Amino acid sequence: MGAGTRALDLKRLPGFGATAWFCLALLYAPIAVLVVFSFNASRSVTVWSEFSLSWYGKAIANTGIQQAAANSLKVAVVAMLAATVVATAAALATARGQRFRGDATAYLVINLPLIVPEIVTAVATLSFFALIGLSLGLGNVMLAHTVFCIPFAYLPIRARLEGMDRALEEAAADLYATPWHVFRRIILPLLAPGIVAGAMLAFIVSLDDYIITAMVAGAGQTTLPVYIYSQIRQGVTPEINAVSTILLMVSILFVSLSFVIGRKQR
Amino acid sequence: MVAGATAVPGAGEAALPGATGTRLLLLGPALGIVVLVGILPLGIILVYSFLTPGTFGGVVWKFSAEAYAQFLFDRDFLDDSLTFNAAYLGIFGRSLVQAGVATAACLLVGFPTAYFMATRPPATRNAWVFLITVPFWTNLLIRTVCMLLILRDEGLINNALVGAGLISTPIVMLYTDFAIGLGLMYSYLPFMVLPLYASLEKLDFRLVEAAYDLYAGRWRALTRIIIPLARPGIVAGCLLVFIPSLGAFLAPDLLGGGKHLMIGNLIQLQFASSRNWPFGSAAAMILLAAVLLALMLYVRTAAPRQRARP
Amino acid sequence: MAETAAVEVRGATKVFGTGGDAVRALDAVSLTIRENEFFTLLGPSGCGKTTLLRLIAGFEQPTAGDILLGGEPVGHLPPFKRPVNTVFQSYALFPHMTVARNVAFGLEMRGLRRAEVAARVEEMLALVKLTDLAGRRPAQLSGGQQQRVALARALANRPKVLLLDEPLSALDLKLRKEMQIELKKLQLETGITFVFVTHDQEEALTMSDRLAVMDHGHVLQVGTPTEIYEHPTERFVADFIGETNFLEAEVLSVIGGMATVRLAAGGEVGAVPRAGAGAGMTVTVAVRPERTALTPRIAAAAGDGAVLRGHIENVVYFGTDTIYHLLLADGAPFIVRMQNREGARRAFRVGDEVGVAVPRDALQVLRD
Repeated sequence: MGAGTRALDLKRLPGFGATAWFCLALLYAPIAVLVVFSFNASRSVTVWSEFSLSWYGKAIANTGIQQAAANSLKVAVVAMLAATVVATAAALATARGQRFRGDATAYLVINLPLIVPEIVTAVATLSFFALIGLSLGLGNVMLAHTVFCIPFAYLPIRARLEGMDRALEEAAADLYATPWHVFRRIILPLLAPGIVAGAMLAFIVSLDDYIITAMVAGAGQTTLPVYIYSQIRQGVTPEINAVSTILLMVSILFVSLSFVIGRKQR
Repeated sequence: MVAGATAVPGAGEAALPGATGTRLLLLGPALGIVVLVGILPLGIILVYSFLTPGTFGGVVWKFSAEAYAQFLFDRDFLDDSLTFNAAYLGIFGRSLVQAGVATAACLLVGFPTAYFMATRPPATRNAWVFLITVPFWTNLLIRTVCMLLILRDEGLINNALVGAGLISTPIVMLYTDFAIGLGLMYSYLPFMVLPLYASLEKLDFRLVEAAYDLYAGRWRALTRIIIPLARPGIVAGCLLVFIPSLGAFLAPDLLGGGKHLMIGNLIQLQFASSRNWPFGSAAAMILLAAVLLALMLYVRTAAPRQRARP
Repeated sequence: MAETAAVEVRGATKVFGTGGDAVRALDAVSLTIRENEFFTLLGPSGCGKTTLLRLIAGFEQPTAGDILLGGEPVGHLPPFKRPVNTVFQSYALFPHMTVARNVAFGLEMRGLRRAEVAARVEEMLALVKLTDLAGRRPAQLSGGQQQRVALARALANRPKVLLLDEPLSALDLKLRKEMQIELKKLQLETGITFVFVTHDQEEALTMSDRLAVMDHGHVLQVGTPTEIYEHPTERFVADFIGETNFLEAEVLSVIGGMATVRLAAGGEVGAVPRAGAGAGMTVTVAVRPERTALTPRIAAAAGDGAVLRGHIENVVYFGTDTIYHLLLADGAPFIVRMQNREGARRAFRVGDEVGVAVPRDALQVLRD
């Protein structure tokens, strides 16, 4: 008879499970298509012929792609380092010590790049650089990236800092540690996972940016997403598939690492 | 974890040295960079929106409200009269509708998904969170390209349908408003699921059990108990989808083929081929205003509730 | 001969917050803690005992007043410049260091040579019997073991004063009792001044040389456990510690060290006076249940004591004792506790009209 011995799962709502799986499929199917067809031997991006790595070979050998990838990496590394250092300092200032009047405002200002739509940031930065005549080559792009990377680094670091037991710092001070020693021996080691997570987020976000880079970058400063976009306009080629897949895999790798590190030091 | 004796307010003064001086030093770089390269430029384009366009792009430092007028009116360049032009209003309207539809679609798919995730056993739950988080962080351009591949006339969907013999000629899906809507929904779906999940995970299911005990069926338990309790997550999720959708550039550009412009495209055009920086700045300002308005509404509805709690 | 106190608190006040939200955690508290004594700060949560401890440790600065350690004012000094160490309620062991590194931390901070640090750590771990666990991390230890590491870590620095913030509250009953004995032994062996914070009166009474009872930011009474228990001067102290009966009375006279009061419940009896209580004043008098005894109704008072009349409302048998809840003639409630010397008493039952014998020095006049 019907329900029999199986317990009635009160939490189960009809159709919700199916929708969840559909959602997952929806999110990953397009990505899967891209990835699968990057290994397609023939030129077609929709009809499968046979497995081949030739497009990866061609992509890696493509000088345009090489240059764009190099630029992307340079920008991402610099933006990541700058944003993480600055964000760590800011997190220490806002999450420790007495609450001060400007606290909420500082928090809002630091996170402002998250609120402003990317296209607005893009044109604003372009106008600003044009106005002051800033021409540092790739440095322009690095500066622009650093700004929006700061909140992405700041939030995980601050969250980690707030979750830290203050009693540990007091105990260290009680045991004759000067503030510098408290920072170096206690806060920094325990904060490290948060800093790493923040740095990786900053890296990914910089690597993936399109619109801000597109507006701000000049000739010879193409990054990978900008390059991919310009090629798409002419039609999707398997090389683009391959490059896109590589970029995708890098992002996924970093997210996974960030996840693992976050889980480890719980 | 017990935080020792920190129940006492203002604890930890001794830990931070030199208070104000050091704090300023630590905070300075972050604030400096964001204010200088983030906020100041916004002020600059605000000013630009009230200037005259230069011939080859850029601006001429002469006051003009023309940019804002251009949204509603066409100025006849022979006799300087204004005629109403609904084109730009149409673009704004489309943006609002697309963002709204994308938000609704994300909510419809996202809510059951988040609920399902929240009711999984802990080990499975973490796997789901990871799987949903990954697309959150992958390149938006690439994901939009993926959607492009699927919707094309020779794309996955059409190939499958034709191959199965269900249709003879491909359905035109690309370069339509539908494609843009689908693209937006696809782009920002994780932005809806994750906050919803965060809210639903904290849900005390004993409340739902109480509802069942009091003769509520599944539907009413859902609408009267679960959804109201998940309200903070719903509002956050909607905000996180609506705002980026409103200012989206890539989806309408790649999936709309430049024929169904949204605000994002309009702005980009002005700084590229159309070379009307003031107009672009004005459009950017309007978009920013819309976003700030949405945020203020959110704060007003969310915050008072939080402050009322003891 | 004036001996320098280990810790002196002079008029310390601590206010948190400003304006309407301000909380006065400590109000002009003055206290002297002698060298080599086991001193306890006792009171309910929110009384300010932890705040006072943190003031001595240096985690908070006094809003007014000062703290002196060994005669030297230290109120303005940060914790790493004070010769005191703290055992935290949550132990606050550094999770990313081993037990040995935790214990060594303070010594390393003070720049001791590596060989000396190692020797001291070994000595400390032996003292708390954790030598085998030197290489473990705090997460791998039980609550009791963590507590002992926290103790070793603090003691390794040979502080003048050791501050303990409710260190036993997280332990289960049996472990707690063991640790109470251990701590007392440790204090006697090392001779270090212990300042111990607790809300558990039994702990305070059994372990302390002297204790201070606190409430709402004030120190109400300081004394030995005997003084505090037998002769509470404040109503709060009498009420907080043990069980007490409160009786209304009028002071008739104060001669020599003794006061004579007339109890509202009937009878004139001698009582231990307090400063400021003069003839004619209406006061509250406290008497401990175990100092009284039930007598048959017609019995007369012995010596300077009194006999109150009442009837028994409830009898609670405790094994070792029996407690009688009475209603006195004037309607006041009264509790009598008697040891079951001859096994379960059957002499007195619910509903009996009885007398309560109250010897004269069992009564204490209180400050209301």
